[in-house]
Amino acid sequence: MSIRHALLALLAEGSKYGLQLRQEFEARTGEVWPLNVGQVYTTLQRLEREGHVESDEAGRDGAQRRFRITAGGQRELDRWLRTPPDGAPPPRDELVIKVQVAVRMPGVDVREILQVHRRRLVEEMQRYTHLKAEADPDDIALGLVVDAELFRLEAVVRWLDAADARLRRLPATPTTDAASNDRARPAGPAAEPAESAPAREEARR
Amino acid sequence: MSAVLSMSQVSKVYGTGNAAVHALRQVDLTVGAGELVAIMGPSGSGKSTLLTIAGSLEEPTDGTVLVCGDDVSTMSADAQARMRRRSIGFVFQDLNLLAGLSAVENVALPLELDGMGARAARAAGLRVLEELGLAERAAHFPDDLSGGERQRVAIARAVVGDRRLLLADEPTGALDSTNGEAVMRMLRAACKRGIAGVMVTHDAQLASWADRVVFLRDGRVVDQTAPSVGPATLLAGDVAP
Amino acid sequence: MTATATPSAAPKAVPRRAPGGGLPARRAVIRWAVRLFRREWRQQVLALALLTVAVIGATFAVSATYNMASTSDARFGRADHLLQFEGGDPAELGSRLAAARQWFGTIDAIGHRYVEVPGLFDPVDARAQDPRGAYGAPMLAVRQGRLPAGAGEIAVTDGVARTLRTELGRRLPFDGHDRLVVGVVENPKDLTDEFALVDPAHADPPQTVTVLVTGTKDSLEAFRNTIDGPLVRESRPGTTRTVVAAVTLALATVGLLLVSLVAAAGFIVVAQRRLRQLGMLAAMGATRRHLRLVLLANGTVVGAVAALLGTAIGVAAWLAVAGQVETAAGHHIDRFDLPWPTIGAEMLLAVATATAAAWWPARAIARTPIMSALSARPPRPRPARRTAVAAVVLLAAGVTCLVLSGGDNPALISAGTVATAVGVLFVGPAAIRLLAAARGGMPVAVRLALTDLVRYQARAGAALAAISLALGISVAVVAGSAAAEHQAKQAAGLGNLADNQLLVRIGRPTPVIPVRTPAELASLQAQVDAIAGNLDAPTVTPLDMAVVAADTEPGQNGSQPGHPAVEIGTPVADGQAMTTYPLYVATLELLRLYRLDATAVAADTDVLTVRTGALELVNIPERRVYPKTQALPNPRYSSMPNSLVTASMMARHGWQPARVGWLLDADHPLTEQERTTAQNVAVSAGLTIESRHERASLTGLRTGAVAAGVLLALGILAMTVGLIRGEAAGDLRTLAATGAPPGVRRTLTATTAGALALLGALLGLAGAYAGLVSVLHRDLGALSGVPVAHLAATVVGLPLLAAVAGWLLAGREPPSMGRRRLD
Repeated sequence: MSIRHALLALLAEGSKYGLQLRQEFEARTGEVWPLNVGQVYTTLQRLEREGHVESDEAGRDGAQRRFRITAGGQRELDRWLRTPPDGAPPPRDELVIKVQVAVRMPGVDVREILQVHRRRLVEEMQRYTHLKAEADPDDIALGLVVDAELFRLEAVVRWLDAADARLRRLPATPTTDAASNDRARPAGPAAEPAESAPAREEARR
Repeated sequence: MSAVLSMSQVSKVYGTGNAAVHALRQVDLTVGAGELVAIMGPSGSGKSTLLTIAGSLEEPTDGTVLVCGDDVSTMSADAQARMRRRSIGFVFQDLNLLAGLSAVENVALPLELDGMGARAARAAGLRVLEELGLAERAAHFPDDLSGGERQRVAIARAVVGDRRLLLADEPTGALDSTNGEAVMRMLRAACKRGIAGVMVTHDAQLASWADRVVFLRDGRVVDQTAPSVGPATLLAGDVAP
Repeated sequence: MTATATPSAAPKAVPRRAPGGGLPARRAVIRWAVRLFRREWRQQVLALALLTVAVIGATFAVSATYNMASTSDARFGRADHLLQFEGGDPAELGSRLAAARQWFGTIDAIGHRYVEVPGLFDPVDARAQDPRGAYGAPMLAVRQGRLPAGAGEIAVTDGVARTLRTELGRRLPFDGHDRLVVGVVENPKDLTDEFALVDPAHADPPQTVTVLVTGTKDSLEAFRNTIDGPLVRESRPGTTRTVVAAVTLALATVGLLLVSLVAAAGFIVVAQRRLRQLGMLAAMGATRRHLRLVLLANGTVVGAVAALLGTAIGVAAWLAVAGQVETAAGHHIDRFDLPWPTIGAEMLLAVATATAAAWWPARAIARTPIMSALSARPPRPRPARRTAVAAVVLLAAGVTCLVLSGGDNPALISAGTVATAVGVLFVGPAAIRLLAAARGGMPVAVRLALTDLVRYQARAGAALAAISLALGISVAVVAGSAAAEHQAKQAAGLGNLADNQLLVRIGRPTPVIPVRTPAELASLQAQVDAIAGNLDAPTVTPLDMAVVAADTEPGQNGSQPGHPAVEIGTPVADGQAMTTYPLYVATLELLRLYRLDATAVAADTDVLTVRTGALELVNIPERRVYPKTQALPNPRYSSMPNSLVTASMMARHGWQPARVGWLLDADHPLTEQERTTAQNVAVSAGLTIESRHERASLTGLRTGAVAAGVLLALGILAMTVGLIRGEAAGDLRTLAATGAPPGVRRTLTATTAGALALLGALLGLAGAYAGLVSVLHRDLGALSGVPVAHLAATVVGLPLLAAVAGWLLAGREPPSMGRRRLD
């Protein structure tokens, strides 16, 4: 996700001045995506260098120049819309690791740990939802972004619920089970990445 | 803040002996006027039982339930019925409306059951529907309403008159997200008018509409969220350009 | 801030409203119930149809009995009492008529002469009646021609015209005058009343005079005390036709009660369907009374709709057929003369029974915990064993009541019928289980159908009850009418002779039997043989009477002298007079008619008779001869010899047998032609013949009743199959989704329909027979003449028909498969 493509998308509607571009970008993505002034213009300069946009007067300040999208820029935008998003590992991975550690640690109430995270996540969701609730229901831009965050958080909560259910189905002594596992393997941080890799793969399937 | 619903040490056991199922164990819950509380938990955690006991549809095995300060367990069946039609509104997952009655008649029914004349009750029902933006649907019958509209009419019926307590059981369970959001907006709006709301759900998104989320597991209250911090500047650091 | 709002709002709202919601709440609840009925009346179509049919039946029956009951108007006209004066002494008659006129003010005197017709036993009643008489006018109407005027004219009823073989415009010698038939008349209140009408101004002195008067009974008795000697008098019976209609209504009420039992089962199903909505209403704050009211209001609405529809259809049906039943009724009918108050009462009854039928489901639903209602969990059905126990108890009670009733105690019959019917209904669940228990090894569709019947017991039970009831009524009508016909033949007074019998008498019966030479007897025998020859070799039974050969008395009315015939008599109520009956000699041939032989008669028996009470032999030299009697089986007809004197008794008193007539039994009903021929022979030989008096036959009506019963059963069956098919739509859809071919769907529906029809037919048959056997247990012979073909059609044909119909109908996808989910 990048500002480049957002700017290209705005220019696809027609040629625009630099200042206009900045204002429209802010209006559409809302307060959840604040930018600094410089980011817009440096990105435009880069796009111009790459031949994706062109402007009539090269000498003037970025805010007053009028930009147009080129055929190359159009192609780039088209390609980007269809490319799957970057599969960067989401922050929950850390949570997965934490829970896995907790499962293997003796004397830890894993479900209590799950609840701590669940409460935190729900509290965060509450903040987003309340933001949405206070806003005008017609504010689509805000709704889209907040929903995205809510669904992301909800997915984590649901993962926690599923983990909870999985743990509940374990025999009555999950901690001793985990403890015996621990004893069987040499304890140490080195074991963690080795364990988490297949787990993540499983999660993707 | 005055407590509209106050449950203390409420337990509920179904069956006896070996077959006994403990649906609730010593649950304490207080909900004040204007507050929307979500009870969240997996299925079988006792959340629906909590709601029905709060609404006097079932008797607790143990503990006390006060609605608007009155002890529900000492009331006669008729007094409970009167309390339900005067003070408590229910919204269930679906099939809330009585077939054969139009939207406004459905909304006016609790008032009529309480002895208000048909004309006055209808006027009151229309007023509530107007407030909730459903005025043009007033004359429609449940069959002609969409799922979301049916739930919104159900909420209108649950808040009509001088209601103090709104109890909702998965109120958006059968709806898609757009309709669900409309229903939740309305529920929240209703609570902001001074009604105490209790909503049970297993859905975190739904629960996040509440001012406070109470987590229920195996019949026990295990946790609850801090009172809402209110809208904040969000995500300032979360999104990379 | 809420704290300030709360106290100000609460006191404002509370005192205004009644604690239970008061009238507005009830009105709202009833409004909802009515709306639901309007929306979902199809679910209750079975209960609605049953009630409607019951009301139609009740309305029709009340209208019909009210109009068909032979009213006493036929004999009393507008009068309260009738007096009978003998005309033997014209002077005494004149003084008595004058006394009556003085006592009662207005009187209406009708003179009678009994004119003998050659060759016929029964005389013709020649009436001298004023057609504008104060009280007698309703008993006389001209159908054709005009009233007679002057001594040379006469009017006759159609029956008399046939007897005299004359018609309008012909002349005939009658009662010593040559007369012209100028009119055809009738008694509109009794079309079987046959008479000839002469002008009262020119009539011969009457033999008897009937005097119609009004007044109280006390006045009548006071008048009687002013008269010397016996006075025959009669008061209008208390049983007016309104009373008859009310009795019919009472019987119809029993029917309505039975139907309401089925309706109650239907209401249970309806209540269970609405359980969730009722739970919602309770959650909304409705009290138990409100919940009850919803179902009671539903019952009332169903009852009201059924009452209106049923009454309208019933009255319409009556108006349509009223003209046709006139012949059967035996009097003219004013079809618009209906007992409106009784019909109104019956409508109210229909509403009341329907409401009562809703009471039990209403009570059960109001007691269901709200949470169970909200999750649509109906209360568990009673275990089949308990209903089976209830069934046994009820059946035993019902049969006991019916047995004790002896067939003539209305209260016990009603109680017994209801108990038996309810008992049969309670057998239903157990019977369904029994049938389902036999499902192992059947194809999957059949198993599924039978399992479903058990699973939805309330629904299947209601349907089964409806079918059993309809078939039970149908069987009861069929078997009962057959039994009634049998009994009608048995009951004395319902006819003189069977339609295949001919009674030939020598001359006319007199207390003195003329002495006849063997040659005379042989000649008479030859004539009788001639008559018999015309009837295709009937059984000829000679009839003898016992005569006191020692006495010879002069003949009456100038006939030959002869010996007095021994008669048997019973004292009349006042003890002064005695009613006498002819006594025949117990010949072997005669005994054979009673299926008795010589050994069946005890050695010391003097008289075999059907009569009971203090019996005395009269018309003999000895006084106070009280015979030792032996009971005879009830004779079939009133003119059959029914008191027989034994040979030993005759030998002891020295009585001799004397031939008085013959009884001819043909193997077929006698035709008009045969009767005429016999009469012609008889006239020439000095014999008189007696054949069956034409009576209005109810066969036509009975056939109609049978047809109606069968149609009712078929209609209910069709409705039930339709309903169950609709109910099973969910199952069918699941089946279709799992890839079941249409054949499975067909089998499923056919099995359901067939199983219900079979069980219903068996239960209905068993119930009807249990009831009939209990009532008729003293005379089970009455049930022997049951139309087997019809019953077989009921028990075998209906289930087959149902199964085939189910099979055929299930081929098509039900159009409203998805609808059920929405309610």
